[in-house]
Amino acid sequence: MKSPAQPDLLLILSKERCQGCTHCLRACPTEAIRIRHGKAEVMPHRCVQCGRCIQVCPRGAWEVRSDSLEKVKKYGGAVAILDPTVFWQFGGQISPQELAEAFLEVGFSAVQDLGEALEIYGAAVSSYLSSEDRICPVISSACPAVVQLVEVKYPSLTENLVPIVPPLRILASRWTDFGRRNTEEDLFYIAPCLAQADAAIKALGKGKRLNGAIPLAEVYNPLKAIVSEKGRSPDASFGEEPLASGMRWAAPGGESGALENPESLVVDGIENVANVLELAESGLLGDVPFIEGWACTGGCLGGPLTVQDPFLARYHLMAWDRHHKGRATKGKASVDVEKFRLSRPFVSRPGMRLDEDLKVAMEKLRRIDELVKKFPGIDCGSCGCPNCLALAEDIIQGHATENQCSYILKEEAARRSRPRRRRMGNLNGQGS
Amino acid sequence: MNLEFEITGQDFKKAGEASFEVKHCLKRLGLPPDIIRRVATAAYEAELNVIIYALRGTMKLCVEDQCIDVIIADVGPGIPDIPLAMREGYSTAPPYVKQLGYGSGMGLPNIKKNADWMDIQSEVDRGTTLRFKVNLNEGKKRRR
Repeated sequence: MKSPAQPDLLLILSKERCQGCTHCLRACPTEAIRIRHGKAEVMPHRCVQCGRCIQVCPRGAWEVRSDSLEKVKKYGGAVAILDPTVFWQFGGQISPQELAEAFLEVGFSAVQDLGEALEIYGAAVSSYLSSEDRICPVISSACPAVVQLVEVKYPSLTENLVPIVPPLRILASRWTDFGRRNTEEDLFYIAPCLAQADAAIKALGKGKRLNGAIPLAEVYNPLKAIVSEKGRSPDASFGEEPLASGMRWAAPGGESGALENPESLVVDGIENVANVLELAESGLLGDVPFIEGWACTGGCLGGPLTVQDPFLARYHLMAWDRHHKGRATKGKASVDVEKFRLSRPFVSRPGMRLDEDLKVAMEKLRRIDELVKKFPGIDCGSCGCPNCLALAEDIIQGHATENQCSYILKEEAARRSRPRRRRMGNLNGQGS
Repeated sequence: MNLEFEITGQDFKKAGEASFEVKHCLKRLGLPPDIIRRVATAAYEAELNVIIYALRGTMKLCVEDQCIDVIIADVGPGIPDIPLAMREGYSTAPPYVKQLGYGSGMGLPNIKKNADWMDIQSEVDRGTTLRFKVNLNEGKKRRR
């Protein structure tokens, strides 16, 4: 049986660059990483594609399997789908029109902004939030990493996720509604993060000849070169240009701002999101109607595949926002939420489950509880597991051994050395 | 199988830790989301009662074939009138606890709402033992 718990990961490791340090091991919110034989390994059934590992790796060892600009050129051009995040990489230096032109110069045949699809998505979320059958607190499904975090770690909250077709799928499935005539065009999403790149491949994959995702960082340099060459635009006013919609979605609060009732709990950074979800799961959020959560600190602006500092990028976004007050695109005609309902709602992934059989799982849990007492509880990570409990779990699951713990090894070594010292008449048997 | 967690009276900073542990265990057992949510909610309320009123206590999680059985035993003032304590909105929490946002008198009713079975044994000036069960198979219909 093919389990949905085994997604194909876009996340790959450069074994040359990985030095087996513990940065990613500790940062992973679902404890999906282990260091084995001196190199990091990821457990696909637990990975939520948040990209924390990419962000914290001091050697840039984690990479994203993706398409390249070379591929776009080889196929004679394709449409670049621009996430609002792309624009803020060059904040203040360029107009949306110029950015679109720069994309053509680097080899794309056309540019399509994701903003309009984001607006439709926002309107659908608005309608859903006022529907009778919603389950509170409603959790935004705009960040695919947060969705996966819920599926893996907070299974009881899967029903709270907004069951609306994601923006990229709205765009791909209603391609002609966005004023595009050619339905045979090749589409490439310019992705700010791993999770969105993965979502794009799944969303664009339907009925398209060639499609995929290109990391924002991959197109940044050639675009930057063009932008720098042209210098600062004399009139970088954004006017009514197509790229001006959905701009705010790049930063936390952008989604809530697009809703009819913006009352919401906005949280960014995967650890903070996890804390809030923990409270939600125990029913401790009171009357919070909506949670807008973003896996990255700074929202998509902080995505692991972006280049610009997320706070500088947000500074530019806010300057733009102040300048465009009152010209917000909010309040667009409401959409029929039923049209955008997901046909298959979200389902939990048993990523944390110890065993399919409840009795076996119980026995394992008991043994883990016993075993963990042997370890020092300092969560040093030198055994290759993120903490002592995870090591105990790995041992019971047959993936690790006790002497991976350096504390136990040290004790073992001390015990072995004692009798010999006594034989040597040293220290009267009182070893150090 | 059972696991035990300590609860310290008046330690509001750690409120929720024992019930979060319980929740984490249930997730690792791969139990249905609805069961996890109900046990976690009831366990949290029971844990808070210990923190608000008692000196110390323990939360014991037993996973049986048919149900999840949670026993919260504390050393504390006890409950003189259990039916009264079960009434919604009835609370003897001191004002400073209410200022912290706790002790609104919904704890015990909320446990009853989420559990399939519950029982309270209490002795004044000794302590209270609260026990609740959530059935694994045909439990209560979900309530929100």
